[in-house]
Amino acid sequence: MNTPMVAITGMNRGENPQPGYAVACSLRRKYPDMKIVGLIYDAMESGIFATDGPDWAYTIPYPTAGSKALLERLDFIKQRHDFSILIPTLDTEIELMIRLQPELESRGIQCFLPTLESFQNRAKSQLSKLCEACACQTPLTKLTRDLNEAKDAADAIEYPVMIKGQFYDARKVQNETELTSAFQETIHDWGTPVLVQESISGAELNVLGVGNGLGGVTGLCSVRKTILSSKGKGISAIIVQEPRLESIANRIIAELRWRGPFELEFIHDEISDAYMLIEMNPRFPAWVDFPSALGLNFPAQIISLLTQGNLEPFCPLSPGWFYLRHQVETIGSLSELSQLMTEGIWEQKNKPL
Amino acid sequence: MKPYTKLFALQIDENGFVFDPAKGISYTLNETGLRVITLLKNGCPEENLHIKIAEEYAISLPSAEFDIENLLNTMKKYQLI
Repeated sequence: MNTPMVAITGMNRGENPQPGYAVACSLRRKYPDMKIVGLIYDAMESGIFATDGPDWAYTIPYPTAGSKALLERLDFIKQRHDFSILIPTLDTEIELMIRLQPELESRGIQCFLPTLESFQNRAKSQLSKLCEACACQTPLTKLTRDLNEAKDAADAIEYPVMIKGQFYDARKVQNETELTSAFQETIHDWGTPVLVQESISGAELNVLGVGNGLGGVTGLCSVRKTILSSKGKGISAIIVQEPRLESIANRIIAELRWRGPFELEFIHDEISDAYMLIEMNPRFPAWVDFPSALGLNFPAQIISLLTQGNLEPFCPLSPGWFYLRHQVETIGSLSELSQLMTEGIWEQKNKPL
Repeated sequence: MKPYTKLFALQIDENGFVFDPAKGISYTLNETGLRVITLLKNGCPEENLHIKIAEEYAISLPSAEFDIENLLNTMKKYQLI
């Protein structure tokens, strides 16, 4: 089998790293000769310039520009580099990619994504219903569309509460003053609805996997975050072996008949000793290359499922392995920046320094 | 004798480094703490632990009993036993 060419979004690795660069690294672990096209929204996405980053990078329009603009740009890129698989890695683009499946397939581009119904049933606003169907717990959450609704919701839930955007961001607020500020910032960045959620204190755990679309998973990697950034992102995490977490993950994926990568976020409620589902991300996390380095390569599984329809057996991961995020500087030149800023193109891999 | 099933799920090395695989949390035991846990895992009844420790470390029985009780209470607090 020839190694397929793959296009990946989300190449920025900064304070709040995106998953695309880690997906590229994972794919190269299994397919060292794989050619990778980075699809970027900004010339300064740091993964473009990394030594083991994409072979080429092209800007694409933001999802808000709509499907026509995106398809035209993908056609342009595909004429230059004939990629056959697209792996979107950002929350904001998944729904558009799901809706564009027929158009993408007609162009010879495959994705491994859930159905629109599955995608919508795991939205933050639907978590209570999903958890009820899967016999698991989630913090009390209210959807609000204006500040007064948010204040009423916080009063009903009782402070402190979490203020969350529909796609990203979570802020813990202790009182009405803090809520007002957090609400306004969230609505400015992510629009409505804004979620007001009960604040649970306890360890944060994530479960990563790929749903096969038939109700099963291709493997699971459960971790506990051990160091958090100021934005609550896991700078370090350690693999755990907790059958209760895996059981919840399996029930959720079976209920949704999820197809594609996912990351389930939990908090362990110290008082009730229950795992509370906080959200389900419909994509790989930025730490996806960690299990790949240990032999459970979820991005490579997607390539196998799309090209062969099956998977090689894998070994479960041993608890105790951990990762620490390590920041390095990538280097770019003025000529690279010039081409990116004017044409939205970067094709200077292996450039001489 | 109590079964101490949780104790057997812990990964404990010869240096007293303890890892709870379900929670992903690690702890350290000092030499005597490690010896107490090893005795427990080897089937020594909890009520006899202080006799063994007092004998091995040449300390008084009340002192050994006090320290062992502290250790086991701490481990219970962290749900390790």
